[in-house]
Amino acid sequence: MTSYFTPEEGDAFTEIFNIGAGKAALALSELLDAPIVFSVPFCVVLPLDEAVDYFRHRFGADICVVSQDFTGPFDGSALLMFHEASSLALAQAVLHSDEPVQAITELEREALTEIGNIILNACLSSFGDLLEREVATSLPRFLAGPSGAMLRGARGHEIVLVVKVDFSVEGREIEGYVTFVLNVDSVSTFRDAASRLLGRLH
Amino acid sequence: MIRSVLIVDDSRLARMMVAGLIAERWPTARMRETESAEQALVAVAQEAPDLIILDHSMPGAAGLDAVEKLRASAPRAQIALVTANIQNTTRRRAADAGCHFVAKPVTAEKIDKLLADLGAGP
Repeated sequence: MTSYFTPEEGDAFTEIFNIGAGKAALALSELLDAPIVFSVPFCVVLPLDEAVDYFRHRFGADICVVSQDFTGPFDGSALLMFHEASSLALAQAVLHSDEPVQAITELEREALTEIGNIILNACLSSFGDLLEREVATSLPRFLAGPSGAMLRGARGHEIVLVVKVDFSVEGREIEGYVTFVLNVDSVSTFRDAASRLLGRLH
Repeated sequence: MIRSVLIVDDSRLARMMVAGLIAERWPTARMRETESAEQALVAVAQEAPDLIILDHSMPGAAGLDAVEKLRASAPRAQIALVTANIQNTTRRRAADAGCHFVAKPVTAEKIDKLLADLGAGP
């Protein structure tokens, strides 16, 4: 998890996100009316510049993002990032549509925004509940463009907590990332959340 | 007896899902929709509904912040907060405001439970 967090705290983050992912998976399966297999293979913390390089290599071309700013115990932005193809597959699954499409329609944008809203809120709630504090979130925004511009345009601007999320819906494999772009000041609050979880385990 | 429902949500998809589920259960219910709490206040002043399905995070006023004013115009309306914001603090605020709480996405099971809680089940 780099020098920002100890390996033990890193394990705690993965567990916190697993709790959030579990809630997100339940919500998504309700939305799609289909079983979902959802996993969080890893999470990692990177300085902003390294995160921009990381995603440039993984995504290459433009991506689709649902973004929400958050304030409260920690400040920053949460971004759900997908390849455009994964976004289309997900939107069509929600809308129960089999029509082949080349571009995202207005209704699909709305569907993706609502999916992002549900997934990001599920992840943020797992931190807020652990800290027993309210995390206030802005309205979700749907954006498309290069990943670097998305990360640099986020509200936080120093470190990026990257969480890989994989899920499969009715045989369709969908790969995405939840990222939290934070200021360094917020790191101590994240560390507090990790400590609370570790404290419960010890 | 619930004869009229007001659905308040900035997401067209969310409104479509709720409206579809309610129409299946109450084909005769009068349904209106608004995209914001401000529009909801106008709609409620024109005609008080029996049930308000209220999103929390919307442009303009948040759902929970509008509950008091909605009640002033429609004191007998039941209010269900329907939101993706599933934090314990939000659930507590909804309970304190006397609202039912439904976590998004809305499903047939959740609507049936809400109707049962309201004493208006099918």
